[in-house]
Amino acid sequence: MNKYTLIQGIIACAIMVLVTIFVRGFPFAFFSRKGKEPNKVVLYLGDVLPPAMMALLLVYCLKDIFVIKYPYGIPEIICVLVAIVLHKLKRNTFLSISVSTILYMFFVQVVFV
Amino acid sequence: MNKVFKEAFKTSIPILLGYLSIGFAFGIMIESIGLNAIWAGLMSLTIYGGTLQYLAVDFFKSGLGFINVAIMSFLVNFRHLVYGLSLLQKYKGINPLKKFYMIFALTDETYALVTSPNLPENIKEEEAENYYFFISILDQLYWIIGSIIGATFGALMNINTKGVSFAMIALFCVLCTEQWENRKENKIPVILGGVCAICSLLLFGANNMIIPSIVALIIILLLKKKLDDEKIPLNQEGSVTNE
Repeated sequence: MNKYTLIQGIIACAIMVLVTIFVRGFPFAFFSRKGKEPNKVVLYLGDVLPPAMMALLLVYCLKDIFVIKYPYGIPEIICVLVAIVLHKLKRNTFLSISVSTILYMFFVQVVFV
Repeated sequence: MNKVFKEAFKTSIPILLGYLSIGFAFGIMIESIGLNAIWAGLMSLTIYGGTLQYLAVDFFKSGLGFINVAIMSFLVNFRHLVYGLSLLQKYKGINPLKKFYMIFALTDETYALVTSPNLPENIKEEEAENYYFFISILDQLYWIIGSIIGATFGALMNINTKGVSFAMIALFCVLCTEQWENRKENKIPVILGGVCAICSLLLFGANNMIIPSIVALIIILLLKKKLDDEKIPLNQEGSVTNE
């Protein structure tokens, strides 16, 4: 279910809020002063981090898959492939997410019980 | 004012559909971990970040430590820092309160709309500020409404929601595919990110993989930049190539 207490949940959300505001506001606060040009390294990271982070996040959210226990991560592997292939073909976010998720729910509720 | 609002609404219709559905899925996931529509609505109001909010469901589920929450939040939203950099000129001189909100509300989709090259025909330059402002507000409204409806639906319908959190995995599959397809220069970073993450997972285990993978990734990316900058010629030692 949910491993945070109420207070912990609120703190976690507060952290997310503050970090988000900080990250989005930083350029406007820091670089508005005359003569400060955005650092080349920051620009470079801003260019390469998004694609790299997406791959990292994908692995991150698959980290708890137990490949040793039944069902050996099979529903996850199949549905990840479905999502990727469907998206490559149709480039429709809603379609890719809904089809693969419903398929996954079907697998874990009906097939691989 | 009315005309500007109408134009903003028209422009935001694709986002209306997207955010309602992705927000809906978020609401369902929130409800499935035992939180309610109030949590969903408030998170969408204050955090306002799809990727981060989807991850937040996982944070709650695994009781993730606060330092890791902060690090993940920073890295997931880092690209918004770069968006801000590119909007410094466009948002110059806007009334501070409006500006604060518009900066807060910088999501990928809003950014895409705001930076699209052509204003609608009947919007004049001086009205652009309000046009962007209305777009920002409408987008967030759709997101909040979608989340609340999703969480409410999840609570009322009492459907077996087992497996619904796969939506987050699906979202990352989609985002990853988009990044891969977007441009050829993205392919190497995608591979580097995946490799760092997998190695870190194998070496440090599921609970500790975040920090090592990110540290390794950033070091490798910076090394890559150094190599690219120095323009090492092809075939030197046979192991260095330039894309």
